[in-house]
Amino acid sequence: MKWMKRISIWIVFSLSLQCLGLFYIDKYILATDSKVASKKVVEDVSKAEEIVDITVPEKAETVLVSYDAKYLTYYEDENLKLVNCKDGKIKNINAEEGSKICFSEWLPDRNRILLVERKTGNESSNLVLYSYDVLKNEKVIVKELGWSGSKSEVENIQTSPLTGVIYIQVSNEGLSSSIYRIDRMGEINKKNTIPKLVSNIAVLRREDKLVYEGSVYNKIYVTNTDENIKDESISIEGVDRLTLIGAQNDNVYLAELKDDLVSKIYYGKTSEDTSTWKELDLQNPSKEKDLFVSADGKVYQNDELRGVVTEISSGIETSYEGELSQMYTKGIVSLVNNKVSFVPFK
Amino acid sequence: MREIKISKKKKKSTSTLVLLFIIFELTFTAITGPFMVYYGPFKNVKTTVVGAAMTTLTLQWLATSFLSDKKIEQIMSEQKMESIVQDKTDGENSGVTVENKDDNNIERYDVKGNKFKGYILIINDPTRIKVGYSSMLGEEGQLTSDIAKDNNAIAAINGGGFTDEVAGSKWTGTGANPAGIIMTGGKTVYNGIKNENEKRQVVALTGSGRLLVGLHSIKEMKELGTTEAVSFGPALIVNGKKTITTGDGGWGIAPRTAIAQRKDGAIILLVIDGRQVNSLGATLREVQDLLFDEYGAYNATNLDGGSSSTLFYNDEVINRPSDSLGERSVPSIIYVEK
Repeated sequence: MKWMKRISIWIVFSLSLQCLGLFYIDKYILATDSKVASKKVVEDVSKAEEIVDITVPEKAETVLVSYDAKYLTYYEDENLKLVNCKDGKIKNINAEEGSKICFSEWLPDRNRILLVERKTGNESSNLVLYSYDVLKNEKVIVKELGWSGSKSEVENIQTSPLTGVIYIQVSNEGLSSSIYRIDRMGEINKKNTIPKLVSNIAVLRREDKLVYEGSVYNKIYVTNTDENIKDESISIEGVDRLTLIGAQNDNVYLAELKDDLVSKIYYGKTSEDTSTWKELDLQNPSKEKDLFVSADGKVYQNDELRGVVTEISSGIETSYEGELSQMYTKGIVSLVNNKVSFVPFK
Repeated sequence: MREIKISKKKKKSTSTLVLLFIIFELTFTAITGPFMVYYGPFKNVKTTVVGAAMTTLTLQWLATSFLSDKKIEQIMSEQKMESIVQDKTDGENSGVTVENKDDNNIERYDVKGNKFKGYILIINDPTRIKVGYSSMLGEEGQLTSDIAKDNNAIAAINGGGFTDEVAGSKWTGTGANPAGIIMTGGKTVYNGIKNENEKRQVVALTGSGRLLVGLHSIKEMKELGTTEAVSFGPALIVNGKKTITTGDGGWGIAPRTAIAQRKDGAIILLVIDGRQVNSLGATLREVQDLLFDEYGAYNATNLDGGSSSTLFYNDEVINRPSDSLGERSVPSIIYVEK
């Protein structure tokens, strides 16, 4: 008798829960919305703003400008700050409560930032990816990445706004890498790479393909759309060690490493045989970190000592003052005693 | 000692009971759930589930194993749209008379429903409406806002559809390959329709500023003096009549883009945000009703929705495109000349 009663209560519980849920969906989510309010919007005419000098605080770290240099971000005491380069106004980009922003990356063609946050104080927690729209000043969650230990770090985020794909490279205590792929429908999956530890990644513009470099042997691989086909390795005849410096307009840029210096760059499409790829010779051997591939496919080399950036194929030089902070599509960003200086490429 | 034993026993039996409760609830709900959906009093849920299942080949069993074919047919027929043929003649008999030529005004409205937020622009002079397209058609699409800026437009919405995959990878379409036709300034820029007499859903404008919606062949459009066109549908309002009178249109809830024309010739551009916490999106029915009931549309049609839905106005994207990376590249747009 006791069990009969119990089961009946349980049945009633399940049925009423179902009814409640379905009722809500039926009457709220799926009901035709007939109550619509319209409001006329009158535009206010705003005045043109003054152009001001931008300075960043002494302790600012990781100063990064957006693709068109209209905005920049930096960290101050582990807080992310956003500066409008037109009027110098500073905004805070706040993390969710109890979380900290551990990585940020500007998108290559628009004023939008991808942020990765992690709960503070936890030994292990989920890394969460957010997207921050600078123009609208809005942050939305994109996806929770997998569970990770406190020592794993986001190293790189690469996106192709054209295909809507985001790749995130996470290093697990320097022992292995996890690479996550997120598509425009918000679906996330983990890519298996051939070498477990990956040092650099790049995505193609028009095709959903990831190019990555193995950390130990500097081998380069490109993924296949079909998960069942093994990633292809890219090699160039006669070159022992290659390093990935970037991908632009579906061309992959690889540099030949000799004693950790680069003196030659090869670039071309993954679909083409590497023997047909184009070559660029560097006048002076360069460190990998001093090389930059711009959005229009030009390769620039920085000479720190002379304060000069050279476009390799034409040899045209652009000089800058202070310390180089970053190269972007149109020019150079350098810091001169904490003042941000923008020098367009010549 | 005895007391402790009893409480331990009690604890054990409570946790078993909780476990039993959970198992029971899960199995019972799983078994009765489908019956609640298919035979319960929730009509909207039923039609949506059946519609979604039947339009996806691999999921048809979800409906067929619980409902008879006859019943499914009946439910599906409730979702059917009426196909109304637009009046052929241009001019007085078309029901639309362009009253405000050379009127430079644009009115902007924000609309708010229970589950969506939308944006409306009303352009009094329909001859200002043009079709723009990606300068790299066939290779890649461009952002609605970029195509708009290239054409010196004051306002724009995304236009026709495209193939949404690249080399077998789904949802990665770059907007490179349009579906159907793209026509601007009287010239055909792209044509994927081989048969001139084949009737396809179009969104087009004639030289005199009349909006064409619904099924039209290329030949017919030429006869009507069409200068601007993209392919998309379905038509929502034709000759002042709604095409969806039962059901919700059968396309579910999503971000939407639509274009409409009033009797006085004014063009209405509508974009509704979706897939967001404070704006889930709208059904085709809701788009239709909004344009008909609130804005007096005489002809109206749906355009490419989802993550493509973009409204550009005064150098700014004013809606919130649903992709986490923001605005998406598309092959064609509909814009308003400055």
